[in-house]
Amino acid sequence: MLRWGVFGLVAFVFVAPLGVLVIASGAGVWVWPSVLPQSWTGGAWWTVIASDAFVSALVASVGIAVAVTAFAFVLCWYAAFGLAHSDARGMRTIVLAVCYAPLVVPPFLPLIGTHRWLIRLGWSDSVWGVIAVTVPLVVPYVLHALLLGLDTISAQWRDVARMLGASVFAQQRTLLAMLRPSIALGCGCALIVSWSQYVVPLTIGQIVTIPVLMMPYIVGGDRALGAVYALVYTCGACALWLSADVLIRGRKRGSRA
Amino acid sequence: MKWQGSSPLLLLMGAYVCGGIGMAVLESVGAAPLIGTPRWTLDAYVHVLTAEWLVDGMWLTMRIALVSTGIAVGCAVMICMCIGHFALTRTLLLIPLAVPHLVAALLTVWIAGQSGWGARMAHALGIVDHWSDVPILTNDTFGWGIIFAYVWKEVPFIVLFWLPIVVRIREEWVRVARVHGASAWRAWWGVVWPLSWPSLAIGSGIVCVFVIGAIEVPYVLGVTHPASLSVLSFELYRGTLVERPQAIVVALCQMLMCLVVLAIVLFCIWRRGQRHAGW
Repeated sequence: MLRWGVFGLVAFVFVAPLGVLVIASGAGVWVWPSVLPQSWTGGAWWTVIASDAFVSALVASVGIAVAVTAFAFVLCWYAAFGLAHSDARGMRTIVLAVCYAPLVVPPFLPLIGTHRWLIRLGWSDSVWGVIAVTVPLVVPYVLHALLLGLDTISAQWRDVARMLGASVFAQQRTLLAMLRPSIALGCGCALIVSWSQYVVPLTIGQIVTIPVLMMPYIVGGDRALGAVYALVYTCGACALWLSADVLIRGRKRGSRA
Repeated sequence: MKWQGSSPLLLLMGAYVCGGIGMAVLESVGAAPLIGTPRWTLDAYVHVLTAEWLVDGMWLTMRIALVSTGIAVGCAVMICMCIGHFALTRTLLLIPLAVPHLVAALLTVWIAGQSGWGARMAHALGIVDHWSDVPILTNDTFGWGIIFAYVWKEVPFIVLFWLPIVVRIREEWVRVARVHGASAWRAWWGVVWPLSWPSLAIGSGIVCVFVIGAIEVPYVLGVTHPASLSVLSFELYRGTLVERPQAIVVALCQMLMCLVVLAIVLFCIWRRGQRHAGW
């Protein structure tokens, strides 16, 4: 009984507030002190969907998130494999400390310094600059997820596979299959973190992503448009997470290769 | 494969963390100005460290970080104590985890604001007559709105971070304590808590450090003065070129606060966690 009570409380406090977004997105006239809008309209939805800025922001947000995740995964894949089976404990600690640093260092400080490097490289005000700065922000999540997966796999599997005549490519493919749940978790986190970035695209690239497009409506107080953008922003994060889970992990959830 | 496989990643992360911070520090002391010739100076440090707004900003930032983390940890512990293996609540808590912080800030404005949905419900229930009777909970000087938004976002994170450890202990140890006559409450505080608090401390530390460094929520829910360090740094950076070194000094103060929090968490774990190592 207590568990169901807590379930109800959690649903009320943590999930029900999202209903306000849905209501506000369709609200026409909604003056104090009405609990529900006096009139309903789909005008805000049509304004957003028909906007060229929205389409380009959506494409930019998704593109940056996918590219960042792909780059981070490739880098972390070889790093995780090396670290998991490394005997050099001291070096492993140093590498992990540097790689996990973005979790404990406020992101704005390295961002300022990196911006200078990007200006010199000519990558400032470009999508590549945004991707280059966002990759380090997602690395801790991807690396940690891969290391968690690799910890469950014996280091001797490679010797066994090699003894049975498996090529390097076949070994990597087998490992990929074994690590699918970890890869899905790491990539899901990376997609959400890069999708949620507001300061990086604004500061580094002057790129208009969904949060950058949404901010003036939030601060300016246009309730309906702000709600539509907030819903798109939230649903986008969920969709990216689910896409990573379905595409990488496959349909057999929880299966182990 | 040896650790050398991580060289490309180490290079990138080293360039971002060490190179980024190093370049920022050089700019703050005038050694690497964006335009003009280098001139070593500590003007930015003197200007920022003697400013009253920095003290106010640090106090506000620390207050928001500690209060929101404290409330979030308290709520998360209570939820974990109650739900145990109940998977439905755990699944439900994944939903707010996927909601971006910017949306959490927006929801706080619309629900806890003076004319927000909460105030409208209070009016419908006859608790208040006019919106001006509702206490100011968003864009206030104490930072309650920011705290609400962070608590809403961080409770699910801490629950999902800590619960797997708690569940594991419950399975293996609590039954033994109950067999020996301990009550459910006594078994919790005598067995589960001492064994699991290090991971809770790590989760809390991550949350606290994140709150100190995050910009979006205080940017939407804060006031002009006092402003949190992240907002101060962001606004200074987006101002004139003269103010950029000052933005870096403010960001360095932020990093210092994060390192202090991290050091405290690690020290606590090192000091007390050793007693329960190996469970």
